[in-house]
Amino acid sequence: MSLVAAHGFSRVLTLVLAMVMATLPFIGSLPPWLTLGIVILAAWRVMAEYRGFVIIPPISFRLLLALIVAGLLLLTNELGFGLAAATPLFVGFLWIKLLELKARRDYLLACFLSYFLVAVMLFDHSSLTYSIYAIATITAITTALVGYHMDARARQVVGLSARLMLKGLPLAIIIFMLFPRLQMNFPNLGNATSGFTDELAPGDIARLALSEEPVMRVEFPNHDMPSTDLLYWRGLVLNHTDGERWKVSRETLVYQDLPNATDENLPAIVQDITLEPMNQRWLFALDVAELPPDRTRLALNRALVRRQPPTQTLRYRVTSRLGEKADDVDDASSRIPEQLDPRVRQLAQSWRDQATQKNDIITQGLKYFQANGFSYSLNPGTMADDSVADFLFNKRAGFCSHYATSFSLLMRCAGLPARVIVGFRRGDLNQVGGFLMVRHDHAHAWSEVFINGFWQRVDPTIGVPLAPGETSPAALRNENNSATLSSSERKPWWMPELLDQPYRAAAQYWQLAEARWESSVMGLDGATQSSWLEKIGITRFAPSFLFISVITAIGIVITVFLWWRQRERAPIKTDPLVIWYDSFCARLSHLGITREAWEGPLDFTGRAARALPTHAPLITQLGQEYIALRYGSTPVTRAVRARLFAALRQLPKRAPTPAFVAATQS
Amino acid sequence: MTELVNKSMKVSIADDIRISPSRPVLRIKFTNACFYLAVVLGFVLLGAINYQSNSAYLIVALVISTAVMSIIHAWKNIRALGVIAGQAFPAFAGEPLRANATITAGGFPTVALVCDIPDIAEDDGVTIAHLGALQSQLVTLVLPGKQRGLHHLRRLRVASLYPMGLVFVQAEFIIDWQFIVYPAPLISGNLASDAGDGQGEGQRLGSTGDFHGHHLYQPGESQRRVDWRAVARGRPILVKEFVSGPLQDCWIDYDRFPGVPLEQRLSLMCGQIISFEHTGQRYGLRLPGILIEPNHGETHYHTCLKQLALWTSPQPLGNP
Repeated sequence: MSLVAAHGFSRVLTLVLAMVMATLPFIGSLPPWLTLGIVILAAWRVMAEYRGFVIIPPISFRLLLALIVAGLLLLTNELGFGLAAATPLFVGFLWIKLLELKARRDYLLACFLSYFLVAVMLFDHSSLTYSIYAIATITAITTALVGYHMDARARQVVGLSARLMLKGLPLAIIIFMLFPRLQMNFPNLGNATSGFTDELAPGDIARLALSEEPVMRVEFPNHDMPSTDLLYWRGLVLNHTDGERWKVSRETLVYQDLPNATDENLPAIVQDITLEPMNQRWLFALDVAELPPDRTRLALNRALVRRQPPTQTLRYRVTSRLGEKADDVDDASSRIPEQLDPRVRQLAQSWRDQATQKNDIITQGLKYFQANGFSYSLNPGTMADDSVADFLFNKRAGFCSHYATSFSLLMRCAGLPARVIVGFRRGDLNQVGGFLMVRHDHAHAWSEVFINGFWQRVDPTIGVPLAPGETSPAALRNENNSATLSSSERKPWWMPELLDQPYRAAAQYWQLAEARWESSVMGLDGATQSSWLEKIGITRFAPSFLFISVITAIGIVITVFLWWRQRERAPIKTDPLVIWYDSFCARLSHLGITREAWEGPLDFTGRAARALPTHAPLITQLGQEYIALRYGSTPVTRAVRARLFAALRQLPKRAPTPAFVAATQS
Repeated sequence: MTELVNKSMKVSIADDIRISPSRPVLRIKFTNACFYLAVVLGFVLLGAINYQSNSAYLIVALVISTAVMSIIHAWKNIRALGVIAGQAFPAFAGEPLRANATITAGGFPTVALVCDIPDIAEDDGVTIAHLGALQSQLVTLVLPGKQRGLHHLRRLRVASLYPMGLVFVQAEFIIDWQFIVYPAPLISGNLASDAGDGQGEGQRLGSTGDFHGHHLYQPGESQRRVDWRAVARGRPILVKEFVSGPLQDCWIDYDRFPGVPLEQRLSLMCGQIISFEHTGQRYGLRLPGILIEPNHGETHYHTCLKQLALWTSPQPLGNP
């Protein structure tokens, strides 16, 4: 028995559209020849279906094509072991499936694999935008599935699939909320995202400073956001240098019990941070962290270190104490690299000679950068071999990492232990949601100098004048200390000036929606589920939870089924005339005249009138009226219905006693 | 509570066993597609666990709930259907059988139905794309031909893969179609002399007689006498009628074919009946123990053929 017609043009077109929607997010990561092949395949199939004549190539050809795709991907090094790397292959095979779309099974498989492709997209991107797109794609795929199994207009098919999904929404929410979140990681599946490494060369941050991608969002649950110039998001602590590159020296990364806060009066700021994955183990917090998040260690130099680099957007809560200073000591921070331009040593020596106290050395260094023709530029050009000397004495133009690395080096030469800190500075305040958006272009490097028994933060970049022609947001922020608009908040060029403010407001609301999505929906984890269960008194999670939920689910299903079945069996009485006639017959039945199944209204009322002569005129009249309404064209209005029921009440409720009958007949 | 549920379940099961023509037996079966989807969702789930991707969990939840809703829709689509078995047309042995049934929708529209007979494997079924609320549609099922005799078909199935192909829902109706299958007609060369022999009133029959007129082709008639040239000219399918001479009573006699095996003998008699009926001749039927007086016309024709269809030899056919 064949339950479906052959593939038609509209069916294949729907499927191709759904597949295009599922593939679109990966277009950027596909090699161009594969994209071209997909376009050709889609066009060929749709055209062939339109002509109504499809030639399915033989299996050997399809296999060969699949092998060619796999081979080409292998040759061009697109293929890896990770899921993200294997995506082009998967996409290629999915589209080759279009070539052999023959039976219903092929069609359904293509739909299901598209579902999988949507999920692969979500493994990498979980923002609100991508989630909405994913739901739209899921709807499209469901439409293709539904359209395959019914012959109807496109509008009906889309309507039905949307209805299916909407009706399923409550169940989906319950499944989503109650499905146990398991914690396990499979090897070799991690996805890499660019970000910091454990090393820093002077020119490194420029690459990040040009990107406006959000990197983290900071909420202050106690609404105590510090002033802008205190917003230093401390991340990596680099204390080992060869004069050129700076890196984290593992030996000095010590985890010990930290001493209590030196000053309890310093403000403790709680931050809820949502961090995008950057393929590195360092977490960021306001200078300086005091209470680390879960599964994160706080090193003695106050760096927050995660055991594994987060592969997904990570939400954590961290408490920092502003003004608190680290007091750890390590040898690496005072080591001076052997190969160093003598001019650097001379410069530092001169500061040291002039200084009366240690603080003066720092002041001298900062003054040196503010005068002497230094400027802030994201494009200082390539430095010569000895980049520090070249920067200090020739180019005199650079950005935060140039200033921070050379300043720290100078401080070491002047006899003060110094290190470079990498993190972010400031952030854009979302007025609507009251949270900070930190982007890649907020990336910053600064110095810490060990003085008077503590590490002191020194930012040598501040106060350096802007290079002429430098217009990047990062540079402007450094210059005038004011917030600049990121491109996502600037209206596109084609919009009229009038829409500038509304666009900004809309952009901020969108950011807020994304933040709420991340925190409430995407932030749902096993801990949250456990806390719900604890609220209703279930503390032992797995067995009792599963047992109770399964029993409850079965109970609900059975109850709904029984209720529905009951409702199914009840006769439908909507016609008022039917209801009235039923009660008329019931009333007469009470009086001893029961209507036979074969008796029509005329016969029945005739018999009743003869049996109940006292009510004969009424019964006859009601019978006539019923017949007229039932078979005539007169509509049954509310007035008519009311009159009929009123007339019914004139009939006696009990059968007349024989004595009464005798009395009336005599 | 448990007791109550058990009791209700028992009642509902018992109700299903008591089969009445108006209430079908509903069955729901998961298709292979459902299995494929489960495998794919399993992989998505593994990914969601590995990447701790809540949005992937969300997708899994959404697809599962949509699938559950589709199963409910599939069930609702088929549960209120009604079937009234229509006529089961008689046919000659080996020719396709045809039977009518009226499919009625409940109080809501129904789509993508396929009606077929579950007892016959190679049946393709009849598709109903859409059936409005309380509407009904007459379907004609064409079944492969059978042997001579009386055949019963007691089950009619209405099934659907709507809406997502994840479940196969079927409603099985108990009906009673009685197919009378006449013997395959066999026209012998010396038919006329066979038929008339003994009485001396034999008539030459068939296409060699004088052309008498046309009548519209009826399903079941032999195609030999269709006026194909008229059909080629675009006229409806007409059957040529021939007569030769005055119409006289003929007898079709079981005993007139000595030595011929039973089925062949019945086929020959069947062929005679058809021939006589088409020439408009009056004919009677003689079978051992059965005698049908000469007559002609549709009713008589079918009465005679029915006797042949249901005929069983009173004693085993030995050597004549």
